[in-house]
Amino acid sequence: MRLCRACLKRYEAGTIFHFFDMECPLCNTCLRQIDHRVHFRVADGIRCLCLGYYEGKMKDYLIRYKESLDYELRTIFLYPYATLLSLIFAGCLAVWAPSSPARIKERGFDHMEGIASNLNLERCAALTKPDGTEQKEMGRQGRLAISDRITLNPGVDIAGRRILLLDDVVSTGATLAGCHRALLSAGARSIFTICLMDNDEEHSKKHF
Amino acid sequence: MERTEDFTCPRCGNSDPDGIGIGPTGKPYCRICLQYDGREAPAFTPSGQRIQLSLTYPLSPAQRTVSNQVLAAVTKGQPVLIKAVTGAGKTELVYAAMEHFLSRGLAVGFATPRKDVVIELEPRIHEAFPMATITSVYGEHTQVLSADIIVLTTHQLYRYPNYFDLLILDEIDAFPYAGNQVLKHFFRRSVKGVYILLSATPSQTDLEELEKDKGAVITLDIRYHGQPLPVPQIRLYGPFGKLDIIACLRDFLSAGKPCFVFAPTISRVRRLADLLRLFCPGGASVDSQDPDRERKIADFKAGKLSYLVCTAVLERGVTVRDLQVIVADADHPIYDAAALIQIAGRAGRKSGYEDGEVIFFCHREEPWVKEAVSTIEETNHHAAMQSVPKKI
Repeated sequence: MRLCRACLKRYEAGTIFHFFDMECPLCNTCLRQIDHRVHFRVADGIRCLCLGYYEGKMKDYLIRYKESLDYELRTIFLYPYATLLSLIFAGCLAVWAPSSPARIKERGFDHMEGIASNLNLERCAALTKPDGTEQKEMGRQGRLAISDRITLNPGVDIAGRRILLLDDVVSTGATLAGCHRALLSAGARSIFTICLMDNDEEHSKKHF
Repeated sequence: MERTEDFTCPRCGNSDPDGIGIGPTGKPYCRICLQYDGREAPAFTPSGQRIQLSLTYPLSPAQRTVSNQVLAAVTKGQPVLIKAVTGAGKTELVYAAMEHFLSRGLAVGFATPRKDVVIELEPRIHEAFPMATITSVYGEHTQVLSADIIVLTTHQLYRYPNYFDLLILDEIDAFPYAGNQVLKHFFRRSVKGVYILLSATPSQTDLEELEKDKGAVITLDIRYHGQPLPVPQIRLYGPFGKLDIIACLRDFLSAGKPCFVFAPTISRVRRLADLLRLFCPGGASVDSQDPDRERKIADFKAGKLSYLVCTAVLERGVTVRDLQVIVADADHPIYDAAALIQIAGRAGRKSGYEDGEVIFFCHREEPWVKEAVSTIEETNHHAAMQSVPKKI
């Protein structure tokens, strides 16, 4: 009997995922909750690959991971794409959209670093953003203002590197644009962007 | 790294290694009670008002006897389980005990597993204690945490460690409280003085736990209006299954009686509602995932809707005048005898309309269906034999 990391229940391995992957973190029921609507989206001029939409059970799990600080959940968000992405982007440097230092201290961990650690790639906490910039309550204007304040950490050398940029949720794309600016000005050769969940207004209008 | 096997959560008492994770610093943490994080209530300060009970309607003689028994027990510090039939007026039974504690400036809480019940209960209790400050605490409604009387869901009990001098827990056998060890732990943690449990259908484990605390069981077999409980009729489906439900529902609606149609799962509720809409206009479906649920229930109570198709969310606490009840697929394994008794207890609650009809539709007569019917018949028999309730 294996233990599901998300619903904490014991289960009998029953899908092809469990057959090939002894470390599969999810049970049969939770595997079905994964949003497989992988699509490209252009947000704020940045083309990013979204692995699903910001809704349903996976949204609840992301909130439980980020807000309730359930650190064990870090493995489920890139599942089952982590292996494939590690192969496709072999040689790239994995960089993630930053949280503010105060927020990281409050949580006790950087939630994006936890998610990026599932990739078998070289990782670097290259970016930082100043304190007092919580995005949730802000409108579009506020978000645009923050994106200018994302900067490269001192002592990080990414000149000529190919970058895989990760973020959890993309709404307006302002953060991603800010990250791109900072990375490009530091001399990154190319940047490919992946978001776990797409919080697109148009999409939510279409469905409700 | 510490071993997860040796770790016990200091908050919820969980020691099951499946529910314990390793945090970022290598320290174990409890994953079961993570969702219960929030502001804890400040220390209790009584409002200083002279609080008195002012009921606008009299208690029935049976209620008065039980009420006095409860008061006598809790003043001695003895926990109580009140086993009263559905529609007996369980809430009124504890008012005397509440008044006793409130007038001494002690903290009183009223907990129940269901949010809908909290919303319905708050104005009722406020009516009975107009001088006391009262607040209701449930998910998304947690602005005010302290008052003389706190009406709350069992999920919010974690905010009140070692707080209540008198804590009343309604519907102990209801989901999600029943069988949830974390909630049970929070309940025990928040009781400082004495507790009262209310139920129509207590389970064996509840009774055993009460035994350990040397609690008293007090029973009340008669409804408020003194009439027996409506006995459910078991009907087997004919060859065209759902047609029987439609025919039955049309009978009720043409007589102008509101009706609940219970179905076992959310998807079945929605399918059945779609079907019934074709034959019987003026209904709606209600389930726990429905964002409009509160509005639909309010509409139904106001008489704007003639019937509701619902899951077990409406099995408790809802009182509607002259209600009829249909259970589609009572033989579905999600029901047990206790749930069916609760559902049957929706009918005939108001005085003046004591004879509601309850119909269980089944494919075959499963044991729990028969058990529910025989339990209700037994209770009615008891009530008829003894006009005054007796302490066991």
